[in-house]
Amino acid sequence: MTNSNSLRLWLSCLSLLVYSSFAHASPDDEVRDRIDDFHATLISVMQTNSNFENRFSKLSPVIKKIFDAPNISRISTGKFWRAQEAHSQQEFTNLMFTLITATYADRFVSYNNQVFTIQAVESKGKDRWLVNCLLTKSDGETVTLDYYLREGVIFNVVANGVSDLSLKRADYASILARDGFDGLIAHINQNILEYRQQGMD
Amino acid sequence: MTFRRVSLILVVALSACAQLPEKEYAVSDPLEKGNRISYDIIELVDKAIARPLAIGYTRIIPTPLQKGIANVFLNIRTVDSAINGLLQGKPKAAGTDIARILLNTTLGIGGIFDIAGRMGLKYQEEDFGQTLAVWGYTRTRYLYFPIVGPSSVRDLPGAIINRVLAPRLIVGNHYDFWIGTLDTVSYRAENLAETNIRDASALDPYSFTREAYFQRRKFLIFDGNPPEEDIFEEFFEDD
Repeated sequence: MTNSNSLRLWLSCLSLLVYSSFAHASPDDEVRDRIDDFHATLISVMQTNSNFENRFSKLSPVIKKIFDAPNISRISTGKFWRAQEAHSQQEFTNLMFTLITATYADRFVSYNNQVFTIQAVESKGKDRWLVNCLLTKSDGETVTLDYYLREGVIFNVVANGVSDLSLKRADYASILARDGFDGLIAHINQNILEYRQQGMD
Repeated sequence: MTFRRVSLILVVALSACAQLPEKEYAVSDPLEKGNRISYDIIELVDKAIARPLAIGYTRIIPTPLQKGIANVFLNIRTVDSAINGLLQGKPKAAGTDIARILLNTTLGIGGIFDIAGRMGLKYQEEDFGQTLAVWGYTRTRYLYFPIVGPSSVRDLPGAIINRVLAPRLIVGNHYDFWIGTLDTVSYRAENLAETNIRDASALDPYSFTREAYFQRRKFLIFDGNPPEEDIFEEFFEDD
């Protein structure tokens, strides 16, 4: 066997090994990696200690990839969602992406040795996952963070037992009953504007 | 006369049961109109007095001292938590709280330093409302009450015991008006972050607070492990 042939054989074996290691990455690991990446982005955003707009633009692509804004929009607006045309639903979904990004940009401002730890990844069947995490602050205070995923994307975050999606649904229900769907959009736009203005202070 | 009294008691008891949610731990707010008025008044007072005082307190008092003051009041209230741990049949939780009281009162100099916390003995956060829930009182109606804030028919007596009566009973006459004021301001300062998040996020802060309150109570009643059976079903009924 020539040197070039043995090198080719060795490279083939190596690529087979690399391929098989990826092929055998369990769905648990994939979900874990997604949440790990998200946490790494949050830490990196805090470490840069930049202004609101910079944090927003750094978070935006990650939020788009990992949050299920269409379902968050649908669930949080309930029966009003079904009454909307497709283009209105799409506009609202885009607004929801912006709101989620602005919320994270507002909350994760500066790094103070916060640590995210994934404690458990649990399959709930039908491509549903629950990821239990812990956020430990520098003073030792902890916040439990439970991520609920469906088809690989987060539709709900439960912090210390309080579900973000349930809060949205309760919060929006009274606005929808009082001001309708357009009223809700106006309120959310105002909310995003306030995040931006606070970020400039 | 006796018949009238019995009838009156029955009417009151039945009205207390009326409009309760079918589902355990679910949000129920038949008194929403009155609660919203109470909420608006308390918010006005909070914005005018309590919040500015709490902000001033966090700016003037150094953080370690703030933490020490909050620790002292928490140490006092841990007695209430320990008793309720026992009432709920949780000897481990009650033991943890009792160990906290002993360690923090002695080595922690009256509770200023949370020595027990550093040793991994965390405050168990039990109260009489949770005790009633553990005993089977799982459906209740929302109340927004002065001083206490968000509460419920079930949780209100426990909240009054915890916030108002317990320190007076434990500390006695030393817990005077000024110490009570310091306690209230310190408590409000501890909650500034939460109310800031609510004010930044909520479109209807009243509904937001009510929903968060019921969820948080369920979380505490189940010691941080509430049944999660219904999260997926609740949101994806069609799957």
